[in-house]
Amino acid sequence: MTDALHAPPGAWRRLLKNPVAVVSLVVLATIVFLTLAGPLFFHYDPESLSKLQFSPPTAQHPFGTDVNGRDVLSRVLQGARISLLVGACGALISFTVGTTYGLIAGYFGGRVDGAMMRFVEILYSIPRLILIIIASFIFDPMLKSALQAAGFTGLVGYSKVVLLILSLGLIEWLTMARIVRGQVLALRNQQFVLAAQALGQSHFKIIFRHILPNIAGIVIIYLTLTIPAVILDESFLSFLGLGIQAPQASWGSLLSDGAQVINPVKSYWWLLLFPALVMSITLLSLNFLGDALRDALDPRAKR
Amino acid sequence: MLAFILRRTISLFVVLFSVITITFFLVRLAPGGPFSRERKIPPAIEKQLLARYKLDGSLWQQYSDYLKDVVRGDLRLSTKYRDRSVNELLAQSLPVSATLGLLAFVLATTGGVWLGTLAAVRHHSWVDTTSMLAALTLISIPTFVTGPVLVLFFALKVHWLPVGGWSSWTSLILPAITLAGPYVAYIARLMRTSMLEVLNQDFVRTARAKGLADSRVIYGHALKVAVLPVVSFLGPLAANLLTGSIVVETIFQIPGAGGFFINSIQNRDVFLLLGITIVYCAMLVLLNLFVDIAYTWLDRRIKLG
Repeated sequence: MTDALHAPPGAWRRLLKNPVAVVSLVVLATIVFLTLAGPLFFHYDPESLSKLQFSPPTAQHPFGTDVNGRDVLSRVLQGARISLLVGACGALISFTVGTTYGLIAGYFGGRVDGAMMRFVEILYSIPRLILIIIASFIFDPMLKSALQAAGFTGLVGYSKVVLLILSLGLIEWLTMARIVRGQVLALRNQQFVLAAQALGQSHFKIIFRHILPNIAGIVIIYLTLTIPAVILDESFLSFLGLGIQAPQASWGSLLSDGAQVINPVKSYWWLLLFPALVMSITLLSLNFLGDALRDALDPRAKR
Repeated sequence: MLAFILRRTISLFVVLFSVITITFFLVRLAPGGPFSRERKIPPAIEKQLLARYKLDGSLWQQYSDYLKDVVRGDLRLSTKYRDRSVNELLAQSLPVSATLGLLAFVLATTGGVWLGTLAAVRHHSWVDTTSMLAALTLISIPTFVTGPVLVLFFALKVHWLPVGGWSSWTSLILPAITLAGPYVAYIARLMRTSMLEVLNQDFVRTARAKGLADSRVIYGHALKVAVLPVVSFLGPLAANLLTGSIVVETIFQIPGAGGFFINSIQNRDVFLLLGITIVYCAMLVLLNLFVDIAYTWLDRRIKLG
């Protein structure tokens, strides 16, 4: 299996030759490092209040302070932790669901494939984010009281994060399923699959041991592209006040705070600019990396 | 064709029915009803209130009664906006949202197709590189950043356009651009890829060899084929614009259905929430049906021609 998981020859080299990809990788690594190690350098508690309201960027507060005198830089880093966590875990869930679904539909083909893809089409045409808003608003108090009853009081504050990860992961898998299914349809009649079938291997083994490694490249590309999509969804919900709640922060909730204080008399531009900048740079790097991966791994898309 | 439309119409009703059922039970099973937030009301009055809004009786009874009302086209009374029916509220707010959505839809498709074609035709030139770089940047910036930034510049700095609200046609411009932005970029990328593929095909070379002008080859022949991936994206585009308009309506304080949707969740306004969800789903499923019909129609023409 490990042999088959190898990317096409030279893919890694091709990726590292692409300057855009290298810059994206470095930027992403820096952001992840700062997110994790940030508290070692910046000694402000993102949730502690102070009297210094709306201070513009200074040496002490490089990103300024907000309405409650909180240091914006440490808020952005705290927000990054939650946004990246939701993005990565949500993308992993969508990857698991989408890949499995696509593999099964593509491998069995025919009627099974028809029914399964019809279901995907139906889901495509439903405003899924609206159902997610309803569901997360309704399940949040339930999960909170369940956690309270079970004695996990420390986790109660994170119930919304867990719900966001689960629900966003469960809606963003459709494109992945479609792409995987298309790839598998092309592979299922190839000789190595027929050989495995003739040897009497189980469907399960053929799907996950023989077919999956062959589509690893394209799956990795779309995994990279799903992370920014989930981060955007999360920030969308938090912006509407339906996601992460204060005093916790995510990029979406920070931007929502920043957008509210925009007015002609006095502009607190740093409240909007810095979260927007960090978030956009992260999403841009992920999108660029996904594109570069596609060029490196998918020989057909090469031009 | 007729069988296709019939099958899709049946699935339309199945989808609507499932969405109504899921949403109804989600909302009704959640802790806290529409009247539990207010100060304690005497049980007798609460009973009367529940009876007035048809929220008494067993859950199953409520559900089947509601289904019957929906079939008759009655979306019932809002529990928050007392004595106003959901139909009334929707009749007042939906046209606003629809105007904004339609404008953004037109902007996204025409702008995206035009930009993508341009980039493909001038492949590897500075037009191609910069427009694709701009497109990827635009996809990566959420609308609730572009919105306030546009307001800050066009409304507050140079005073060309109003900040928000819904007074004249000029107040439409900024929201529509904000809403359409990321999708112009997405469609441009889609269009560029597919146009590049089509431009390499034999029939384009034949057309060129026959001495047709470049513009005729591209706009008369290649575009018809290359636009197909964009057509199949129109359904998801509509869904995204619908949810996206909720954010844009919040930013620009537009009195559309999106604001009512957010309010109805926070107030547990059961029937308003259900009503908006049903109408949104119905619109989307119908739109998807039209898109599919358009697609098969376009596709057939290609096979014949």
